[in-house]
Amino acid sequence: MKIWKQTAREMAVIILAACVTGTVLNLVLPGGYVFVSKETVSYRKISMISADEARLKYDGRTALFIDARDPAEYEQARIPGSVSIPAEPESISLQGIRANFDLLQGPRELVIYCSASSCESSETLARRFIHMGYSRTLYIIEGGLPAWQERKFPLETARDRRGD
Amino acid sequence: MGMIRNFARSVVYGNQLTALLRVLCGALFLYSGFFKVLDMEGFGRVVDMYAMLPSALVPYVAIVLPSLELILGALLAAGYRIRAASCLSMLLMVVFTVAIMVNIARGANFECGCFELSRFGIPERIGWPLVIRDAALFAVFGLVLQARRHLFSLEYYLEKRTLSTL
Repeated sequence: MKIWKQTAREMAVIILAACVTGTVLNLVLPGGYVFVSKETVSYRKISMISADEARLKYDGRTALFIDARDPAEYEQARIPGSVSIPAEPESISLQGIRANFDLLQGPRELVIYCSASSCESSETLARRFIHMGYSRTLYIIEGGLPAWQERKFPLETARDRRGD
Repeated sequence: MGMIRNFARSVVYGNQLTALLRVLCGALFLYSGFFKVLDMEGFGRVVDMYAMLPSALVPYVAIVLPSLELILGALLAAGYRIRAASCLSMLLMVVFTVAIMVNIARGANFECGCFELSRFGIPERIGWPLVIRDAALFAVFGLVLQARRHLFSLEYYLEKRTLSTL
């Protein structure tokens, strides 16, 4: 009986040693696993695309464009057919997502844009989508609306709507 | 007939053949553990193919199992903590055999990723020959476990040294 107790203890030590060795080897050797949080994995679904790539999606009518800027900026100029869901403040943003939920869950890919390359609203909004259960890839236009405007891609302005 | 019986008794008690089998099994574990440890992610994909574990657990098994094989291999080959090492090896053989049998029943057909013997051109596809092989290894580990004497082992050497100092 005593010998079996000792054997069991030794087996536990061997298993523990294997756990420690395995973890260390996984860190040191190539071809191992990289452990990341679930959040990081889900945020990998956010993909940056250039204005030219966004234009291809626009022409193919395969994407729904989301304007993450202020509603006032959206009223001034926007990509035709885009939907306004401001990234901030949070309450308005969530309200916008809920109001457009059916549209967002439709077959079209989502392309988000904001006002400049440094603006983080697109990413903030993309993260809100992921938190609310959106599971497909989300695209963000690198350089935002200015990059789109620079290339003279279609734009709908307040003046156009007034018919001037 | 008597000679064979005596030899069998000697193997069970622990002779050169028992020691050779122990060292060979240790070397086999060292060999397979070495290649698995070099590509843990690849081994994880093989573990996943068995479809026996939740996907979240697969990386942990893929990290721990190769190291366990390396440690067991080293212990068996060197002849240290033989009882615990052979007992754990028997448990591993049971787990491997059950996993293979379940996948045979499912009609699966893939490289089992057991001992990396396919590098020598020895096929290791899921099938009954693998079950028989693992059962044979289980028996060998059982033989090592119950042996009373382990020639060419660190334990034997240490025991002899202790006795000589008495």
